[in-house]
Amino acid sequence: MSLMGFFWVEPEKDYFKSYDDLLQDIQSKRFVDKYIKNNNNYNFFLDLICSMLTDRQFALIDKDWSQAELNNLGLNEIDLTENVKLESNDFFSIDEVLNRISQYKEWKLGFYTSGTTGRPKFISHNLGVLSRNVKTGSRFQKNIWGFCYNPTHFAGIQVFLQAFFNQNSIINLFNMDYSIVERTIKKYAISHLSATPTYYRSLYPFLHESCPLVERITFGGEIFDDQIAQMLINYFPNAKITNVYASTELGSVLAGEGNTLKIPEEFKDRIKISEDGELVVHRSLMGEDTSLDNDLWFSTGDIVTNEPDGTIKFISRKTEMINVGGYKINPHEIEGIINEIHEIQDSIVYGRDNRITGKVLVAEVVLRPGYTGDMERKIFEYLSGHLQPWKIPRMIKITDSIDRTRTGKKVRK
Amino acid sequence: MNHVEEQVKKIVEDIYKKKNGGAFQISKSTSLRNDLGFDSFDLAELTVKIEDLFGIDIFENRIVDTFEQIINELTNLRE
Repeated sequence: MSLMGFFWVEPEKDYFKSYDDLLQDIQSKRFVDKYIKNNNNYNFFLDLICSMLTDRQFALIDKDWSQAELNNLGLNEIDLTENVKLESNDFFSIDEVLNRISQYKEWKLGFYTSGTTGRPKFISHNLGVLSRNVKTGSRFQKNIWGFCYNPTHFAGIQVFLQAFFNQNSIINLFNMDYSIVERTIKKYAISHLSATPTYYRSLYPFLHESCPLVERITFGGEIFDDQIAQMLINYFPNAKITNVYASTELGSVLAGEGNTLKIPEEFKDRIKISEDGELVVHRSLMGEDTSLDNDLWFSTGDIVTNEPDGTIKFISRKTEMINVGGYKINPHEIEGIINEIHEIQDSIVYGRDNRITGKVLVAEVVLRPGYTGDMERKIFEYLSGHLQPWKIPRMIKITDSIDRTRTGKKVRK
Repeated sequence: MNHVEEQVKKIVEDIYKKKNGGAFQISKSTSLRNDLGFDSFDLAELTVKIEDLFGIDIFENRIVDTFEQIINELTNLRE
C-alpha cells in the first residue's frame, strides 16, 4: 500500500491523516493547550506541532492519570485548562511549518518523570536537546516508521520528531494486538522500528515470516538485549540494529550499533566514566529540572565499561546490584539467562530480605502465550547449567505482566 | 505428622529434590545442613517460603538446624 503524503495512520481504526490534512488543521488552529494531553494520537501531535510555533513552555500529560496523580504533580483543574493563543498560521506547506518551528528558540517541552524521592520531577527541554539526534536529509525522506512508544513519553517524542522533520509516514503500532503487527509491517512497508527490548520480546512469538523491507531496528528505554536482537534478525534479515541511550533527564545522548554505544566526538569532554565505572554527564547537556541538585556532573546510575575499540558497553544500573550472601549480583544478567528458556517471554529479578543471606533472589516470569504450569524446577535446572549457584533465583513467581515505570523501566521490588 | 509438619516437610523436600533428585527421607532429628547438605542459599529459600506460608520468620530468634527445631520454632512463634 502506498503511503505517499500520509502523516499518521492507525490501521486498526482505518484512520488516515495526510500531510495535507495536517497542514489544514494547523492553519485552522487558534489555541493550543498548555498541558498537552493524548486523548487522540493525531490531535496530540497536531497540538504538539502547533505548540512548537510559539516561544512558550508546554508540558505533556498522560490521558489516564487520575486526579490524585495530577495532584501529586502539583496540577489542578484550572492549570489544565490554560491555553496559548497561536499567532499567524498561514502556512502554504509543511516545509514552511518546519522552517518556522526552527525560528522559535524559546519553545520548551516538559515531561514528568519518576524521581528518586517519589514525587515526579518536571524536566523541560528545548528543541535543540529534543532533536539532538534527529537526522534529516534526502536519504531519510522515504522512511516509514512503525510507532511503538507511548506518544507522551520521551522516546515517543524522539521517534515522532525524526519522522515529522523528514515528513515520513508514521504507522501506529503502540498498543496494537501483537498478532497483527507483522501483517501491518508488511502491508504498509514499514522500514524503521524503534521500541523497547520488552516490546520486541513480546512481539517475537507472533513473528512468522521474513520482513525484508525493514531497514533499521532501534532499541531504547532499557538495557540492550543481545539475545532478542539476534533472534529478530531471522525475521528482519536486512535490518541494521541500533541501540540508543537516552533518558528524560538527559535527552538522547548516545547511540551505537548492536550492544555498544559511542560517545560522539563533540561530547567527549561532557560525557565521562567515573572511577567506579559510572557514566556521568555534564549538566550543560541536560534539560532543566526541578530538583535542587546543582552538581555540575549528573550521575546516571548506569555502570558501563570501556571497550578496546573505544565504544562503551552498558553493564547494569548501579543501584540494582543485589547482594546475596556477600555476592553482588546483576539482575540483568540473570534475566538474560532466564529469558533464554523457551517458555518464558520476560522476567524480572529482585532481592527479598531474609536473615540467612541478606537477600534471596526472586524471579517473576511471564510465560509465552499457551504455556502454563510450575516453572520452578525447570528454571532451576536450566540456570544450574549456566550460572553460579548464588545467582539462581530461589523463588519463582508466574505473573501476567511486569510492572514498569512511566518511562518503561522495570520496577524492581 | 500433623498438618504443619507435612507442609514444612514438603518445602524441605522440594528444595532438596530440586538440587539432588532421588530419594528423600526426613525425621525429627534430621539436620538440614549436615544430613541434607543445605547451604546458606537453601536455608534462605526455606526461610522465605516458610514465611510466605505461615507469616513467621523461623530464624528471627535463633539459628535452627533440625526439622524438629523448625517445627518447635513455628509452634512457639505462633502462640
